[in-house]
Amino acid sequence: MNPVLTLDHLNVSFATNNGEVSAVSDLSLSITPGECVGIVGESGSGKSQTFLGAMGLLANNGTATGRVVFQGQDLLTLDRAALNKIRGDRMAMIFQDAGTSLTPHMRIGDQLIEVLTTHKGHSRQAARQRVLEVMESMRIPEIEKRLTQYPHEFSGGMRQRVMIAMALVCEPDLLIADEPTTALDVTVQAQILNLFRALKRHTKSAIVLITHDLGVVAGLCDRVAVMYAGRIVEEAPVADIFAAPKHPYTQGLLKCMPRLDQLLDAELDAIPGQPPNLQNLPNGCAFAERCVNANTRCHNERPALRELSSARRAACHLLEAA
Amino acid sequence: MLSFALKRLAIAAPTLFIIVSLSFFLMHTAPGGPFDAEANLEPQIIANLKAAYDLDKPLFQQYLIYLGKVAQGEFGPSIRYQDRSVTQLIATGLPVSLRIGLSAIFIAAMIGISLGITAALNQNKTTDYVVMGVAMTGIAVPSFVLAPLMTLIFGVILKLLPIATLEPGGSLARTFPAIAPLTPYILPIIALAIPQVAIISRLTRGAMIEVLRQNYIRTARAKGLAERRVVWRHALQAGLLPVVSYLGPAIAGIVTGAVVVETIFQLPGMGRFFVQGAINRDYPLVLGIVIIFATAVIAMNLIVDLLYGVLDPKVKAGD
Amino acid sequence: MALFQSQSDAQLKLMDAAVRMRGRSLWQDALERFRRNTAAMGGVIVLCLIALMSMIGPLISPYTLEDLSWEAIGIAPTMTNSHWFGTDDTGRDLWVLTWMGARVSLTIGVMTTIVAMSIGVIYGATAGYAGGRTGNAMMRFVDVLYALPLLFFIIILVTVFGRNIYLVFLAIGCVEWLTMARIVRGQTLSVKRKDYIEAALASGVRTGTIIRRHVIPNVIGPVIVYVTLLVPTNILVESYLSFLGLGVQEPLTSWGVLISRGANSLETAPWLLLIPATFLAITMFCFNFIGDGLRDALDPKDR
Repeated sequence: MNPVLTLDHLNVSFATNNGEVSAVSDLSLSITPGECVGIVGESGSGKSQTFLGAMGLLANNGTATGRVVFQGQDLLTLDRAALNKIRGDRMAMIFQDAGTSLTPHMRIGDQLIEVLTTHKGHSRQAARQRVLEVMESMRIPEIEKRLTQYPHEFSGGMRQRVMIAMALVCEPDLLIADEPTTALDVTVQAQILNLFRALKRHTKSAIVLITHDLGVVAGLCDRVAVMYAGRIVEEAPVADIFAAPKHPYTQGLLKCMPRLDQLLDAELDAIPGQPPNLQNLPNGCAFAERCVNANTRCHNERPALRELSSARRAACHLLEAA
Repeated sequence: MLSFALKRLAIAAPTLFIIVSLSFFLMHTAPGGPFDAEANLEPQIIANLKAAYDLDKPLFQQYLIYLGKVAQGEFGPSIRYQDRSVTQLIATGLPVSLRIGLSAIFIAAMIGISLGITAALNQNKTTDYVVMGVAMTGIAVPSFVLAPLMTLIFGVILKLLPIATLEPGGSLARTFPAIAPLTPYILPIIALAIPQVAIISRLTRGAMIEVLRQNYIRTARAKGLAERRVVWRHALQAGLLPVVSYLGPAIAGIVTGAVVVETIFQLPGMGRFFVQGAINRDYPLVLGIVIIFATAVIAMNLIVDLLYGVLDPKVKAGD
Repeated sequence: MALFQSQSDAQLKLMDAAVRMRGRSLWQDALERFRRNTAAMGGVIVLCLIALMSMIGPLISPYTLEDLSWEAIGIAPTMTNSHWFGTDDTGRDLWVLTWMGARVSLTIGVMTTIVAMSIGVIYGATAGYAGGRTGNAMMRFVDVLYALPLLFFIIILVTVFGRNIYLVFLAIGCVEWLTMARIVRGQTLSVKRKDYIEAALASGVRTGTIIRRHVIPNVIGPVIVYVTLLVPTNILVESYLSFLGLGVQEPLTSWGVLISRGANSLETAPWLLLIPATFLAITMFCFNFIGDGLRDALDPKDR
């Protein structure tokens, strides 16, 4: 099957007062139609910037290079108008902080309806009908009244539902969700995750789920890519990641997760040290500083992302030796 | 919305009262009186004059008398222009000042906002630098420098516009008789508007740049909306909030500017009466004008508050 | 209890060290950013030159403020008889007048700003620190004063108490503190609500120390920026007053006085307006560039 999105040697960098900061380096990844891919990493690992770059949504000082092929078109070569035909319609994004990601002075209804009038050429009436349908499926109560309200009159969870509805009205082929549950209370998080599960069952959209929470990935995704310092360090089917993590960073992440079967007073194994400074990344493996097994080669030579099996890739010298 | 408006009105009324009182006592604690200049007058005549203007009564009584009159829209007789009351003077001056003041603020807002948006959308490009350079010049070159220069260029050298009169004139009026009645006002309005254009365009630029960095603008772009719609529908309303709240101070700025501009162009407006009143210690005239101007500024602030409520749904819902 | 004490002491020392370290590097960063801002640095240099010339300019010229050359009335700028900026309609040398005017204008700008800053900072900090009803009432009063066109207030003050240069200082200063008070109050309020202040309070740090260590460093940035913008504003206000004949009186002179006189003879002797106006405008530019530069340097996210 042809992939819906292929990132090919994608680089994202920002020009700052203190020089160039490289947020994403040489990243390649494919997403096939209908699958759900989790992108996992700490904040600053470049997981959000990867997809903001792909959608042409970087801040003014950011640039993306490489190729971003969406259904046969390289998005990075398109002009604004051509890009606008795709984003919001065939490719949609849900943002982390729904509180600041909705326009505060526009009614919720208008913000939803404009997506359809822009992309599908619907009349306002027809668009409204479709919006009501989607909001219904998002389990938003009192929809009619809600449409005339402003974002600040919504709770955090309700705002996130609106964000999701906004991304879904055009039935996109690819849905990118950037930390959709991070800013929410635990109970609301569960509700939103259930929505995603239902979504996965009922739509044909491919979903990219960006998160720092491996727990979220476990319940939802088919495949996981782990990012560290702007690069993918490991990529595998979700079951394999949990059963047999290959990269030391992935192993570290898994050890950080609290488990019910552990003793209460058992300490969690935090990964020692800090992620590297993106302004001057080390020549070798970016994780070497924090890796207990790192050797001289790790410090001097950057490991390539190599195939371990047909579905698995990892970037680590130690795996080669073993 | 109505209760919000009433609440604002409830604050505006005492504000005006405090300003009237403050100005009154300030003017009347002054050492020396309005008749000091006429030192050769006999004491009896001065006493009579003071009685005529209630200046012989205790200060607090004068205050009460004054308040009573003001409540009826009566500001007492002018001391300098002895045959006319302050109310009459204001009635002749106010239309002139209103005409140039309101036109100036309207023009300044329109031009300033457009320039600010243009600069913001071209941040750190040539257009931005040019607009901001012009704006900086507008702030750095005060109206009392600009006005004489414009008079010299457009009035004296080019003879396009009439100067120092309210009569139409100049070649512009002869070429386009339709706009002839406007010609005497053009230079004063421009002189008054330019500093405000400069301030408003800088404000708009800053606010728009801030707004364009917001998350919801990213959302709007992610939705695939045309850049035009992103700017006009999603950004502008929030970007205008600081400009709207500046309109109150802007009116104050226009009023002070009017004092200078009316003096330079010798227009018989409120500002000129005010300066002459101040120089002549014509208390009733100065007080009357202060009250009118303060009312104008307070009224503008009230309008601004209401406008703010319309633009920002959170204000409408909240307090 | 003793254990508690020593523990909190140690914590305090750590916090202090952290604050000082952070404080120093913040200011160093800001200075570095400011230095790299060409417009702002240019502003500083030009402004220093103007200030220097206001001190030595009149000394260089062979003429003084009192010299009225009857044989050289209203002559254009020339090199021949050392009237570098020409003379005015009474034969006074404009070079001398301009630099003497610069002295008065700059002094007034700085003095009035000091007055305004003192009142504004004390008033705003009190209102912010007091908070609640008192603070609100204090700010209500500021709102009331805001409704009055400022120049009017100054004109009333000057009218009432006579036209005296010290009074002009006071009058402008007494009126231009409002915005400063608002800024300081806003900053104080927001600092007061910060977690680290609560932490400091909770661990028993004295109020004086909190104000010195935490409140002042946070308030000082916006105050400095506003001060650099207030100086030119006040120079302009004085010019307005002088232009209307209510400010500096002869034989003292200021740029406003010179411009006012120059405006009257614009057709015959344009340099009388253009030269002082140019220096006034340059000064305005410099202060604005410096102000913008400082703001960008102190608040880098604003770029």
